Amino acid sequence: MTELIRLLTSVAGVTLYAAAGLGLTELVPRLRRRPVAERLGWGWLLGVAFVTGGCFVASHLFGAPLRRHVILPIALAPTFLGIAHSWLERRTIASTQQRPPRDRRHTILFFVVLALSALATIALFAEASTNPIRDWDGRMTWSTQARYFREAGSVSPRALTEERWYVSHPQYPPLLPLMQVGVMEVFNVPDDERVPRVLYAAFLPAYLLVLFFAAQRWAGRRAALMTTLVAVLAPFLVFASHGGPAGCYSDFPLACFLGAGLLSVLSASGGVWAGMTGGLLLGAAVLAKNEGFPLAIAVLFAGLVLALGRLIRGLRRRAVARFVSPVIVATLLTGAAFALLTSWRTGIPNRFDERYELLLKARPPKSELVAHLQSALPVMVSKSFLRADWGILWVVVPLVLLAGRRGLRIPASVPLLAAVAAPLALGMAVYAVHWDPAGLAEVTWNRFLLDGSLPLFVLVALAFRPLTERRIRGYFF
Amino acid sequence: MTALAALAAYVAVSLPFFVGNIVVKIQEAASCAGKDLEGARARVFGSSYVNAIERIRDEIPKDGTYLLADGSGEQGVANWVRFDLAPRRAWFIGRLKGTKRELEIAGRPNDSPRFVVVARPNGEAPFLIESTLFFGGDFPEDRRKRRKDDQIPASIDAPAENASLRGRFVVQGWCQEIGGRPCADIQVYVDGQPLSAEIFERFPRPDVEAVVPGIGKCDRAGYRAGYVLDSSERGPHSVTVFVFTDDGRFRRLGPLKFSWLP
Repeated sequence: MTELIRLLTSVAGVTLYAAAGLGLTELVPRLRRRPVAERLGWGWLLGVAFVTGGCFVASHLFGAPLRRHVILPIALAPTFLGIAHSWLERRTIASTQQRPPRDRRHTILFFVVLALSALATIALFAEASTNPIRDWDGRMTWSTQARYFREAGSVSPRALTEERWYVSHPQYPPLLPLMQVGVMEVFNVPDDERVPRVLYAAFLPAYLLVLFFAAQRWAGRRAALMTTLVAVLAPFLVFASHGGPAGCYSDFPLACFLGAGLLSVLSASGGVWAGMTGGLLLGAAVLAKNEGFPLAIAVLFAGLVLALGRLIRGLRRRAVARFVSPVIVATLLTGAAFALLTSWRTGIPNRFDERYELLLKARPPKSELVAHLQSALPVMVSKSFLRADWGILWVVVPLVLLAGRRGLRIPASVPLLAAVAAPLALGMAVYAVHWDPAGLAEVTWNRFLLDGSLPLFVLVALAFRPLTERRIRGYFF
Repeated sequence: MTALAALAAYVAVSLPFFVGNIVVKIQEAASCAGKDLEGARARVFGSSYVNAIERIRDEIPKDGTYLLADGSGEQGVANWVRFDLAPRRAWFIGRLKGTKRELEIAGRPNDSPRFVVVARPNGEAPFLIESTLFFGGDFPEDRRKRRKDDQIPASIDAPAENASLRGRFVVQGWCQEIGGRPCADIQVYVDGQPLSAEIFERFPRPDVEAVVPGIGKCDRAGYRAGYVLDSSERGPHSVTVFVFTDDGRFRRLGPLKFSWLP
């Protein structure tokens, strides 16, 4: 495979999922009228979730082979539906009247953020498209699983279903390996691991786009730019190969799915469509990583609390339905994803795995749990404040949140905060019962910080708003 | 303004790391740009490792299976070999430390895959060995049922009798039937045990071809097995080589005595 062909195939792979997702955004009313750049961000996440989820259902429930003639229709269906819907909508006069006016002013800060984001994306794509997989989990689990799936044309290959074969974490959720298989099969790629690597790098621009536009909507353009600047300069979030978009771990995609899913569920008056969008993304989180299910539950619970809060404040029934229905629909879809995952796992004997149920049985006595956690605390602190990983992010963020606390006085701050705290709480709970908490924290704490980063940055944007709305004007901001 | 000052400080601290990371990514991209996958992998993992993986891939088909032994003593190395050989299915059999084996199975299973792949310390080439040789005594036909034939042309060239060896040592020689048929199998025993060789290969012996009348082309006549012993095993040892022909004959060479130091 020549280098040009390989690069074009990588681009085509990204386009395959992005086009499917853009088609889906065309079908969702609240996304349809958003700027193209924002729709690209959401489209990437929705496209990966829909196509890989569809392939999982097709293979597991219907025994369909994971080959081009099955994968391609699943990928193209939303694309064509979106095109058809867009064409039909252009024929109606009302749609043009509803598009909001766009602010075309661009400040120096806008161009700085754009340049840094573009530079980071290009650098990641360049490295991913030329270098083989080097990260630990990518080689041990995710990409190995992808090769088994592809060879067998099934999500239940013999390598997983027969206990004899040496497979690490055979019951790990299969969404990201399926993402790799989709591109490899559709474009008939020989075993060149550099092609699917680019797919992981594509999560970075999607993350930044979703963050920027969500922050802009919630806190204004200036605050959104400042927040995106903070995010793109966080080294671990952008450049980490063991957990970030520079590797083949599932943590960064999980962070994207969880954060975007939460934003969907929290969308004011989003209705059923918001629920479906949120459910698709949270379902993808469940299918992306073990932590996805408990964290998705936390997100849904936070959304439910917000919706019920609105109910208590005495809104009319129709308005309540608009706020509660996203949570209900998202819960149903997330539950379906979990049921699918559980069903798939029953056919795979577990081995070479952490065995969380045994971990819980062998946990230390309650009196020692705190001491156990305390032994991990120095590692958690040192990892959080390691400048090569986070700069001084964890000094700046509390300062900004404190200084801008007036901007946080909105109901949505509570579920956002809960979504930030949930992965950290989960991590600490695991450390409290694990036999080597410090060792586990060494390799996982940064990734738990990453999981809740998207809602955290939205909170930062909310805090920036009162700090910037009157005091700074001019061409820079 | 405190928050904005904090933001400015954050940018000032983070920007050098951002620039440094960009430079590293661009350098990594440039180092592998234009290379095919094997070239890129050789750049990252070393050509010795990558070439060994390619040879093993050629021997075991994609839908095939193999036994995997971890001789690296390092966490993760066996996983990397498994990834590089995927989708071939691996059956993990245990760990090797010099002559010590910590295997999870008692012997060669009846339905064993043909080959054992032994993972070596990071960067070193994994090697492939017939499972019959790895487990020893499981040759397709029991040696006692074969006919002993001391006329089979064969030799042990190294080690020399009573040699003093240090570190990595090699058992080397040649075997071929008159008329050009290579010996079907060669088994090396150290101290009467079928010790796992670090590397085992067959290679041409044009010198034998030139000297021995009627022996024919010697493209696979040579054999070479490399070993590393544990430092606790210093002292006297012996090596014995059994060579086997396709038609049921065997010859024993040695035992040769030698001493070994780490």
